[in-house]
Amino acid sequence: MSPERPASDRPTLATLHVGGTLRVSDVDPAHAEELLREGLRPGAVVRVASRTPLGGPVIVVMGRSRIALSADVATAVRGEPPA
Amino acid sequence: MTAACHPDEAADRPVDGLPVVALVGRPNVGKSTFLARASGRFVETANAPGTTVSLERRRVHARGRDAWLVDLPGTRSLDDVPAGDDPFWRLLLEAAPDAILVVADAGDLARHLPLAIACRDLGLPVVLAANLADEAARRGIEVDTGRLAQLLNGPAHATCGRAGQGVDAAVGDAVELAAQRRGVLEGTRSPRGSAPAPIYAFADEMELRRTATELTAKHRSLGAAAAADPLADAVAAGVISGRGAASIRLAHALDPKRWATATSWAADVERRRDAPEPLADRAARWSTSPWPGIPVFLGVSVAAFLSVLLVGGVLAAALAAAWSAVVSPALAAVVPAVIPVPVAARAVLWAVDGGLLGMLSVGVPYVLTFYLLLAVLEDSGYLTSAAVLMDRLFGVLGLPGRAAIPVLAAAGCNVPAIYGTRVLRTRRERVIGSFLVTLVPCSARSAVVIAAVAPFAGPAAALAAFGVVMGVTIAAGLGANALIPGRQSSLVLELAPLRAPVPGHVAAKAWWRFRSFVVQATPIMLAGSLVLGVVYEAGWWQAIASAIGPAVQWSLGLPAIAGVAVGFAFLRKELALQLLIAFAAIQLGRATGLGELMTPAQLFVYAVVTSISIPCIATLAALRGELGNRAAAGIAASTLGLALGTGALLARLLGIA
Ligand SMILES: Nc1nc2c(ncn2[C@@H]2O[C@H](COP(=O)(O)OP(=O)(O)O)[C@@H](O)[C@H]2O)c(=O)[nH]1
Ligand SMILES: [Mg+2]
Repeated sequence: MSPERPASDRPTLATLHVGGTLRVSDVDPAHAEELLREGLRPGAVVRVASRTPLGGPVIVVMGRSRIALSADVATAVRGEPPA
Repeated sequence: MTAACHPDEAADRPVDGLPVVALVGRPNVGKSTFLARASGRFVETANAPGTTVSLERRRVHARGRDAWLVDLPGTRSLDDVPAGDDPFWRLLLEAAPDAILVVADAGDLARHLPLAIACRDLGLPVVLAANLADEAARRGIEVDTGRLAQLLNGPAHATCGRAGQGVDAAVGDAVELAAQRRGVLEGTRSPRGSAPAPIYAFADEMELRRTATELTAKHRSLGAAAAADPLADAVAAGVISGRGAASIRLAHALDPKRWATATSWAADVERRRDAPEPLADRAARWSTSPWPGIPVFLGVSVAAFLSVLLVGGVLAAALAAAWSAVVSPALAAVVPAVIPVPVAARAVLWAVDGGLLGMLSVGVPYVLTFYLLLAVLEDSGYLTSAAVLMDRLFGVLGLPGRAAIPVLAAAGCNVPAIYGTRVLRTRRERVIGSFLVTLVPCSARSAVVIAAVAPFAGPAAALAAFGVVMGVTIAAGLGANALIPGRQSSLVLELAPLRAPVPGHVAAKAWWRFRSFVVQATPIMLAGSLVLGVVYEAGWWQAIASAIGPAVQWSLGLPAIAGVAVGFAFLRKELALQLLIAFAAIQLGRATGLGELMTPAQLFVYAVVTSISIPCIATLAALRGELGNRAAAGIAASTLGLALGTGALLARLLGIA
């Protein structure tokens, strides 16, 4: 595993490329409760499936479910590519 | 029996003392299908945000016992707020279940088991239905229900609600456990069962114990009134244990642990094999990708609009023909015989003949057609895909993407579209959404625009009139978004899988909504038509015309009777032109055409003002019912202001005022 990078360097679900996978390391507390209801929590592995045009929602995949996140929420989820 | 002696329970718990089983699960997992299967009838519960949640309760018979099965709104956790203002756990405790039947997705247990674990923590007997087993199998997933039952310390069944497989077994187990618990409460049985396997850390367990003691003691030390704690109330009433109540209070700390446990349990019980991606999953993926998602969305929207317009139009014409052939002559004969004063008789005829015909030819065909279509789109799961695609675009207007469907549907008829805004979550969104809906020209207003403009100023002018109305609508959305405090809620939405809709469910849903429309709108349609009839038959409109004439002439450059016609179109939009022609004929003493009455420029202004001005009375009633008096009045006043402002501006640009 790569040495800890500073939090601000790590990709978020808003910056990750389509098809990329992320192991969540931290979630902005403002959205943490709502995201936990979808299982998006530290340790979870998610994949960016697609984006909608004009900066619209990002669609991520967890297990077999697809979840749409608006840009502000996607920015709140940070992580590392899984080892 | 002792359980029903608690006063707080009397209102919610059926007094017959039958055991109660609650259906709990994430949205779209098949709870209502379970209820329908177990009771033999489809259901539609009114789970709209901002409305009181009515829980659907059905009596079922299983393993030789009667019991109540209660359908609860889909929820993602016990403290989620799925409908109305109350967290889910309050709805659950209100139902006072003796056992919980958790419906989960067999193909996605890692995301569905946390809720099951939370239910187990309540201390109530829990039965797990690993539903959608057919879909899971198609994805190559099989569930080891024996192992799952061990882990959960309760029965687990693989089920397929749609086909009915496993439903009786799961419901039967739940009814039996519920009856046992009821027996324990009533003192006829001794408590059974072992404690569930511990999954929480020592510190969490200590905190649970401490909170449980506190909640249990609260009533004893303070009394119910002073405790003012619904969880303490529930413990005192025997609905759940102290530990169960504590697990709700501490959900925040326990939920991450529940998710972690669910993930490892799911890995333990799932048997996977490779399977090609099912077509439904591929279609679901396509539906939200820019290509082909956006063209598909446009196609679906146009098809929806046209089908409501065409089917509604055909039905409307047929109903109107049947009405004027059969009912109108009968009413025309009966009413004057019953009411001896001719003017009053004619006014009443306006109400019962014109008003009911209006209901029958506008309300019924368009509204029912739209509701059926909406139910199909909802039931197929496509609605959420469309919502996500449109989210950014509607965000500019302060609305989430799910507003796309009602706003587009408004082009058929505003009334169902306003009920359709129930898909929006916050009041702010519903107010802005309803405002935009009332500005979208419905089929009746579109007809007025086309008939008033196209023959005299050409089809291009008619298009221009629609363009003006559209521009005003978008500007109004931007303005409302800026002026109404608050901001667009962020989106976290699980996309529903695409499934073939079930006809019985679609019909039940559409019918349930349609009935509430008819009940609300009919009296208003009747009253509006009566007022219109009185004003017309008593000749008062002429006095009104001379009173407002100068103002109408000065501001809009229109003849006085045009002002009166716009005003009365409020009662029946589709009559805006007929009324105008009728007024003109009376004033001039001979039949006349629109072209003779106004110049093309005046007709253009008239059409735009009619289209934008106050919503028709049925729309206003819907607004009032959905949003209350103040918001309805605010929306009506805003549309009137917009109409007059736009009209005055156009009149000056066109040189008629
Ligand atoms: N394929 C399949 N579809 C199901 C099953 N159970 C329910 N459905 C469908 O899933 C959709 C949602 O079901 P519903 O009972 O309304 O879910 P609820 O939101 O949990 O009440 C409906 O279209 C059902 O017909 C099942 O076991 N298999
Ligand atoms: Mg349901």
